Amino acid sequence: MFVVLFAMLGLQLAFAQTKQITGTVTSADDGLGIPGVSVVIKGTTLGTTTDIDGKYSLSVSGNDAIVVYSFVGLKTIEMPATQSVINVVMQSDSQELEEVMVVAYGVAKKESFTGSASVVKADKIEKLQVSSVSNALQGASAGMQVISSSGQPGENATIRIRGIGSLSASAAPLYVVDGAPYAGALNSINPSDIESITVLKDASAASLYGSRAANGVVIITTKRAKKGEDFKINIKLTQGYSTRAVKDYELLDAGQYMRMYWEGIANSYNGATASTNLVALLKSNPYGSDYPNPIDADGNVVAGAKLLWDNDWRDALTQTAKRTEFVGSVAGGSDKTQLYFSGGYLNEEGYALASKFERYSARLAANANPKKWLKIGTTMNLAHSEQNYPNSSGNAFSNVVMFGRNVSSIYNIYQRDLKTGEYILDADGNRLYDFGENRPYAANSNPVATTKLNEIRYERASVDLNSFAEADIIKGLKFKSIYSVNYMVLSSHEYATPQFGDGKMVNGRSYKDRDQYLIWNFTNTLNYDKTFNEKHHINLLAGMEAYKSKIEELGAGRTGFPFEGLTELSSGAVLSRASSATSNYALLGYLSQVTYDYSGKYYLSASFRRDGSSKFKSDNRWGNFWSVGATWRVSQESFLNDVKWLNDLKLRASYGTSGNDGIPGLFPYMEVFSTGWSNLTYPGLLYGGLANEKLIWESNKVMNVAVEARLFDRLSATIEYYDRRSSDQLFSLPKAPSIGVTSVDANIGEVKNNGVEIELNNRNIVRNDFEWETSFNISFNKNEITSLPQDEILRGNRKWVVGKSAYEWFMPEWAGVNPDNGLPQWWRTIVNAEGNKERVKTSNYNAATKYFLGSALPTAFGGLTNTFRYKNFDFSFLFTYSIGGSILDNDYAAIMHGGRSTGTSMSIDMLDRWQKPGDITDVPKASYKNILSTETSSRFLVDADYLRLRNITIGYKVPERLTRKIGIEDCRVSLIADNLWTLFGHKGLDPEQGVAGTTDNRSSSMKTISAGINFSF
Amino acid sequence: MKFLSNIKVALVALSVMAISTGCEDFLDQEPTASVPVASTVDNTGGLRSILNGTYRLMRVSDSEHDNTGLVSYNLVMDVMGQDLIISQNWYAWDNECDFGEANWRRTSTIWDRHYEIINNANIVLANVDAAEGTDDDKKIIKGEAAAIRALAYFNLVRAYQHTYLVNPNAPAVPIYTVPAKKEDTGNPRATVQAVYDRINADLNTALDNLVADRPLSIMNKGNINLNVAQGIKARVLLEMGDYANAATFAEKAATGYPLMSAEQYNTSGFNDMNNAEWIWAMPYAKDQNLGYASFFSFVDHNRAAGYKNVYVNDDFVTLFAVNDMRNTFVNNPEGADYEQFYMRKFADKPDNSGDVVLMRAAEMMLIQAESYARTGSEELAKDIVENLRKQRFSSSAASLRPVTSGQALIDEILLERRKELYGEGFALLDIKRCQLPLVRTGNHKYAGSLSANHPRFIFHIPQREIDANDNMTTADQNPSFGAYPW
Repeated sequence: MFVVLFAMLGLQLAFAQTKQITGTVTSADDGLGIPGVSVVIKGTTLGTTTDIDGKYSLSVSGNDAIVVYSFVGLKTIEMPATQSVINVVMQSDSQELEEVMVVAYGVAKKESFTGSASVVKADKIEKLQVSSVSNALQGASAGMQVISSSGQPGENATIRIRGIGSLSASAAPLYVVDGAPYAGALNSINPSDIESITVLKDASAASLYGSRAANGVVIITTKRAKKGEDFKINIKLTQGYSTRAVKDYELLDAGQYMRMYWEGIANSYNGATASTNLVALLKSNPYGSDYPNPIDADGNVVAGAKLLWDNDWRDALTQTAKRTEFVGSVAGGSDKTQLYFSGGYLNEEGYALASKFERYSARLAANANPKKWLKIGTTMNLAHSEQNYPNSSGNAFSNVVMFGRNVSSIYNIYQRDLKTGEYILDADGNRLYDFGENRPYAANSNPVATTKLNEIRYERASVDLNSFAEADIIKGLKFKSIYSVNYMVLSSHEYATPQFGDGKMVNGRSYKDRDQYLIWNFTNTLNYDKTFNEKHHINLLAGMEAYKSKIEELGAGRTGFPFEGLTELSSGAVLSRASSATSNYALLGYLSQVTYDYSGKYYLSASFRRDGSSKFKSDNRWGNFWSVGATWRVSQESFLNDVKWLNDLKLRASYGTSGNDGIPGLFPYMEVFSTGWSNLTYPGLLYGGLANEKLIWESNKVMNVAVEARLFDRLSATIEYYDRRSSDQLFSLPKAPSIGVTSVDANIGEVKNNGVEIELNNRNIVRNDFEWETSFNISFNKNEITSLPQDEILRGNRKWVVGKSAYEWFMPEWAGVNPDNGLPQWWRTIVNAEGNKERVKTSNYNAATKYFLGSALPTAFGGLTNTFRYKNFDFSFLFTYSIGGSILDNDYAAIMHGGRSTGTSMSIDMLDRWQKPGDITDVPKASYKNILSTETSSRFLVDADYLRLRNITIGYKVPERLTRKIGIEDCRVSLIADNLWTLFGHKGLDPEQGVAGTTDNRSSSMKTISAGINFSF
Repeated sequence: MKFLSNIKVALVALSVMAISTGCEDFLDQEPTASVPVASTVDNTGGLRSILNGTYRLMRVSDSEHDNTGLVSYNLVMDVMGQDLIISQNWYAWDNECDFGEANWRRTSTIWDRHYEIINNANIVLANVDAAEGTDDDKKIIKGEAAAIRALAYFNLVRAYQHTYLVNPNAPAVPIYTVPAKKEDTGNPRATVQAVYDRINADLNTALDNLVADRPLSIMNKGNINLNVAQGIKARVLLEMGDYANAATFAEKAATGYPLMSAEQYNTSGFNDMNNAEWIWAMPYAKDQNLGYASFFSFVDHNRAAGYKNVYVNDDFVTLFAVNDMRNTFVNNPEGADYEQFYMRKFADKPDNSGDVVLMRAAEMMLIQAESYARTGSEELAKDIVENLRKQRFSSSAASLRPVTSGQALIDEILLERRKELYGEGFALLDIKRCQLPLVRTGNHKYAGSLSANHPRFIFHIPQREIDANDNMTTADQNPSFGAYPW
């Protein structure tokens, strides 16, 4: 309004001695005219605004005038008024806007924030094809390790912020959705509904969440409509296909397998014994029954024998997975009410046979300003998901990933004529499954047949409701109340067919479980904000928060299901189990915070929170958590005013505490007897374990210092150093098992995590039609135990001692193969005749010395993103990487047995085995007898370094002149590829194997290629 | 304006109230599936429930299918002997006598399970005298708990040290007679003698308190009664070389439990505790994992599904006379060399259930016979063996009465034990008790021999125990196993 007034005024005054300048202001984003741009002569109030097409006309007096073009959200441009036609292209400039981010209990300007936080915006999240938002955070910000170890669609990634602080209590961060701690299922939130994610990393940022902030906080803010925004409908469709990201291990074929297995027996006994026992042991003869001893006493295939079969189980147990996603949303509203509504459908299959995740979701976000002083709003998320979850990790034979890899190809998937190798067909001409009644590997099972008939299915139906009211009481004083409820029913269905395999013995089996989650959170805060004398700004926050979680589990099972396909319990004959359980957990907290800043240069903050948890005894259930932080914006000092290349320079430091009560038990302070140990029909109890009445919070002390800078208008850099001490570890302290109890919960020891995080962002090229931007982040972390209650604690293949990482391997060290006899060797430290320690090789595994062999944790990890835009095309790629650390590949050890595990596949690497004295190789001889060659040692430790092309996206924005005709505003088509390429030194294994660096025959990350279209109208 | 400010005053009041409320009670949540200690141990009903739980603990299966308490203890002791072969999978390392080192799972499963049983028995014994309830109930509860504790220590002392007669002063296992406390730091290894003193004291308590009838509320043979306590006592005395008393207690234990017939031995499938000869058994019913983790999964080759990995040494098979009905061996020419015979002695019921025998009259008779033979009453010994054989052979051949004497008669009785009790948990324990070498011949997968009192016959103390026990160091560990023997 003012601008128009001034513009008219300007026209009036500049009547004489003027020249007329005309032109068009267009957007760099889409090349279209921008209406409403202010066009003003510098140093005056004279000017105009552009019309609906971005055109303007302005009278200028004199040749040295400068015209200034400005518009909110776009970079201001100054042009000398030398020509009569001046067309300008305006760039968007988020940097110049005061960046506001969502933080604990409110929002903060980025420049003034004293804590350490990273923000991930919707555009980055939307690029990735993920079913759970946790998987979208990979490589997105420093300090956050994200591991997607499961290829099962719908599974959440493991997220660790700034290392692993807890030895045995939960190390997962706290999730907060729209201001309320969230304990619902993360995969019920459609990633497309997310506006931004803030990761709070240090005490100043996170301590307000007190008792649950020790492992960092992930704040998810969902989309809402903006005030006065016209209603707009957005549609997004993608369709893609997935396979395994990395190829599985290469295996011996059936012929190689027979000869290798023969060699194993021959090495253990003799060639003749091997020849005559081969088929009897393997219980399969792929050369056909005409050749009962197909390998002769010298290890050669007998004359005339040909392979009749070589079955590809892996192929039969995997599928080409489809991924379909459809999201529609509507957003808009008036100044008083705004609505955001979205609906989504996702159908994502995994590569493991029958694995699938299907989700229907709907979200409604409504805001209203019923009074000048009152704002209210609510979001409601409804989600229903169905996850087909065939067993795809672990050691059970029903694990399709393990079965496919480990069953030798000499065994038949379908029944064959054992003489000719021809398939045996039923009356209808169908093949019949071979269940391998005598198969040494997983007898009486065939997951190709049963995985589709059997069922492991999880259904989640959830309602998340989050409502708030905010009232301005007096100027600067606000009261805000947020009430949220997560209600979820998780139904598990497990069914084993009566026809074959596991369920056959009991004539079919069905389990039904219903877990009902009812979790509510109530937060009330008072906030006072005031500026004195224009330079002193103060903000006070005080509030309370109550949290209650009630989980009710109900389950039953029956056996005896004669009718295939009928899985309801009422169809079953015999009740095999029925149980129910209820778990209650409550938290109560009082919180406060003061922030103060002076003149936009100096910022101080302090917070305090007191929390109580139902997990601890009343005397010591309350914990106090606090933080202090300070920021100095050096670039605002007058002595730096002349340094033009320095846009911004900020130093900040913080220190504070937070807590963790994440132990599995709900009442570790109560000494009880557990029920459920009935003996036949008589009720039974067992001692429930030692109680610890003195148990308190695990506490975390974090020191953080950082430098943030923006240089040359293009390079932004943040460098942080942190030192995080997690003490009073909530730990299941080992007791001597002979007392009858193996552990007691206790607060013991301390773990230190320290490291450096670097985030860089550079706008390499910014031109009208070409832009290139690079973001890079790297995080270094060092994990160290700094105190323990006893000298050492053995934990499987690790040993905890002070000064080492909690993830340091401790196991025998591989010393290669003895060239004389082909036996495996390990190092052993002995004291020699001179009394000195000496390392010698031994083939006796039990005599081998265990050594510390490095940590499983990476020394550094991060991401690299490049984004390009050329005219209407955009292109981006994201690399994620990890450097250092190692993985213990037991999956590989299982297929390097050399004849010890009858019927189990062998790796192609067995071809390099030792065969005769003098052979120099790293693979021991084949042996049927146990030479312990696959026992855990550094032989199976592999470097975990990897580089992965996490995502490539190519997009094309269809010009609006084409789409407008059919009433569409924005239309973008894209090609998206996830995990297209992986660089990793160890073939067959996916590098993402969980935080601890151990394999578990998992279905691993998928490569997904999709095409998508996005449009709005 | 006045109205508005009233609203604001109300708002201030409301908000101050809202941020300062919340009461302590909110944090006092209660467990829903467990009961407090104090109100459980002060009455016989609670103590009986703990005993029920303890019986369940003696048989319940773990996620590892070879850990089912006493049942797997027995199978381990059997497959470590000479007559049974494990073709693959669970128990294969036991079969190799190579699963007992400090960091290996077998020693921990035996150790942890037995000490958990002991702690629960200790809780019962510590509270039973003061508990509310009738004296009769209290006596039975006390007797059962004492017998359970005695048996647990008896199993432990035999697993972690050589037999009593080798060296009563050798270190055995720690003893606990009171419930676990948070402050406990672990007791040192007590001597073999001290452990046997404890066992005998507990057995005497059991014998003083138990009766032959099982209490009305507990009708089955899963519970320990006087006969079971007498039977355990007989085993203990035999182990200690007190043959005269061993024979006496064995005879008492078997009283009222007549031998099953030869036909029954051959065909019943050893799956029902109602078998008149059985003195004590573990029920394997629906509350047990009856699938792959069941005892029958390993031994019953005719089962619909199971591991079916227990085979029988062909040299053992040839020891059976043609008309000996205990020969339940099935020839399996399809199998590998060591899979030529399996047994059908154990077979589950059609619904996959089936009880597992822990003590029966024939064993008691053989304890008697051996004791008589070792104390010179050879004719009495022969009478018993002859009586047993009469119930085990299809036709009464003239040669059923032993004709040997001296050591040869003792050896014959020991062989009779192998033939009668295979699969029931005695093989290695008899080798240890008699200080014999383990000699594996025939088609055993791990053929060869281990000398008498071999280090592999005793398990190592679990490393976790040594790490966490203030009164134990690696110096207290049992001797190294030496090289892999097969």
